[in-house]
Amino acid sequence: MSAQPSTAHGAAHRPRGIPRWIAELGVALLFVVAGALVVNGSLEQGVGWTPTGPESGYFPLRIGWLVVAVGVIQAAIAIAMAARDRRHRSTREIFLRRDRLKPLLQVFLPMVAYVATVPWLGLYIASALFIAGFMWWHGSYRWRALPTGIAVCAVFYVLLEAWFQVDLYKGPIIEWVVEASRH
Amino acid sequence: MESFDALLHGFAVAFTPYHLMLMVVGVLLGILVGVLPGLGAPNGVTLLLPLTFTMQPVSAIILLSCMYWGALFGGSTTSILFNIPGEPSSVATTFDGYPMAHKGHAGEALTAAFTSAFFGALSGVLLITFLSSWVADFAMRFSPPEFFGVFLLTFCSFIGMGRQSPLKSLGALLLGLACAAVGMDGISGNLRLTYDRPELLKGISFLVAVIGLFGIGEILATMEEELAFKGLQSKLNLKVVFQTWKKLPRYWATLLRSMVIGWWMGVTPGGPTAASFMSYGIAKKMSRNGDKFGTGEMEGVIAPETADHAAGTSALLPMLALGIPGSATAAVMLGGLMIWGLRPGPMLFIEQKDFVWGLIASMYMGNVVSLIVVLGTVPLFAAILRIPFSIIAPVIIVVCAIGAYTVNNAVTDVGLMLLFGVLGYLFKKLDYPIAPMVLAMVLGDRAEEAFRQSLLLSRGDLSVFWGSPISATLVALSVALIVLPLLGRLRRRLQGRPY
Repeated sequence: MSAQPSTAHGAAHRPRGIPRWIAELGVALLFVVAGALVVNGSLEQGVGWTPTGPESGYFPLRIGWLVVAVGVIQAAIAIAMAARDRRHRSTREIFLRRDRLKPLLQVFLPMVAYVATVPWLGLYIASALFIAGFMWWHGSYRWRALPTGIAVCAVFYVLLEAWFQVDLYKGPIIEWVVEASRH
Repeated sequence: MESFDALLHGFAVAFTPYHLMLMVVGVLLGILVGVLPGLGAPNGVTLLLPLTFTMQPVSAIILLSCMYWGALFGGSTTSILFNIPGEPSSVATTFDGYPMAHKGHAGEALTAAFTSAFFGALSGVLLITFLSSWVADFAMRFSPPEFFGVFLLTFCSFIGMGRQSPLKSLGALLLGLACAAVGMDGISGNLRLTYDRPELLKGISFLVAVIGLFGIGEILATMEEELAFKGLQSKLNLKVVFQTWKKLPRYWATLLRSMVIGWWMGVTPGGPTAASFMSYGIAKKMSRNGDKFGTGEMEGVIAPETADHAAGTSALLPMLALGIPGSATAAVMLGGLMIWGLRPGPMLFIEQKDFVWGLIASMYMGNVVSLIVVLGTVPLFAAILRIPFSIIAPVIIVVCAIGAYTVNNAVTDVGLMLLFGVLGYLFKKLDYPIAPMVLAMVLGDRAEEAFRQSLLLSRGDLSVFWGSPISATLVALSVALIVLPLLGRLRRRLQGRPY
């Protein structure tokens, strides 16, 4: 159910936002950087031939160069796309419409905050707070938000730790509480 | 009749109350991930995988494969009732399934979808039963150059057959190979591409990548659209089921054709998604009612569903016999085999007879169980989508995070998952295919190993790859798969037609 990039036809209702070529160029440059990292890392390993066969960097070096090549070609295509956009404004492709940026960030930013707090709060506390916060913010739930978050985490605790014996990362707070309750 | 005896033995292995329970649990979990947006078969199986590390391999694969069947069924449910494909491979089911439900024939559409899916899957299992040991026998003669040829063919068929731009498929594939190279080099034991970061010592786990690319990427992509689930009511009772079953024999030709398409696309790694689209397209061209497709034709549900499941099942044939998966989910399962200490490939048929034939037998039973469970529980699962999005979305994200953590018990993997999520979002919106990247991450190390061993045999002479008839054929096929689509594009461009 991926969102197809919307193409605007006609000047009357032309959506505004990030043009597709910028996104294409960005990903192309990502390829170039990733490829360069692989090439550099392979060169450190040695890319030649030894009596025991090819060295560790032999295979990744070639992959790295190909990644760089794909990135460069994609970048060229993106730049050609930009030039075409300038000539024909009406067929301009939009990567992300301006009015869709807000709903996207409304999910993405809490997600980043959640992932960032996991090392300090542990998976249980961070998850409960994340679910509660999300419900509070997006669903205008009030008193039901936190109990729901805690309940979901309790289900995970029973399922994982009790049933499958998989330990989740509990974080310093829970560990401190467990430690304190022991003494 | 050697396969038949082996299959009977397999039934003896698989048919235990414990395994039957695992099947039901697997199918239910599968329907659940299939129904939930953002979760699908590949990351459902990925999320469950760490929980199976302590199980017997046979039990674990039964659980995972039944989850796979369940997810395929669940994906079709949301396609028909909500016009939201729960799986990429059930996109084609929305074309006629949702209009049918809209006209009030939801029950018929669901029954037609499930039943044709069942026959598609069954045909795939039959294919596996009769062909896999033959393919494995054939592959026993392979040496490293031939294996590298098979890997090459797998990679190239993704580039040649996908709907996306060949260059983008190639890019995704190469990026996957690059990710696979990170960490310890299997031959020399050197640490490479880690840039002195301790968390990269073990390499980049493809399981974490799958959770990010498919799960988080999907959620970000759906957030841009309005997410109001406008579901249609479904009444699924025995009367509707039997009435629909009476109509189905009429479509035997569509059913058979779709099975063959599914087999082909599943065994060559075109995958279920390509199979369902191709089958729908061909059915539309061949059917007398072709012009009515898209308005709620039952044939338009049967064609993609049969091919989807036939491909999804036959994708396990190359995984078992050659150690090469035919779809993203099969790639994850292959990774599971390696984690459980089994070495996928032709030797599996000799060393792990119980495992292989237990799995094949479980596929027959699993599909029967799936059909029964799915017909019985669909209204229940459709109700899940009526839970407000502000509750279900964070829970899905938490499930993904916990899943990423449990792969290696590493908190940094949760961050890595988010990075892959952003990449998955960009890939989805810019039409980079994700499946080749996952496939390359799983197979990368083994492809490189085959490559280096071949060069070692030939002392660095690249001609070893066309030295034997088998490897020469494989390499020639790989080249053809890349060159032919490019020529086709060039011709269309010269004729001035848009592509």
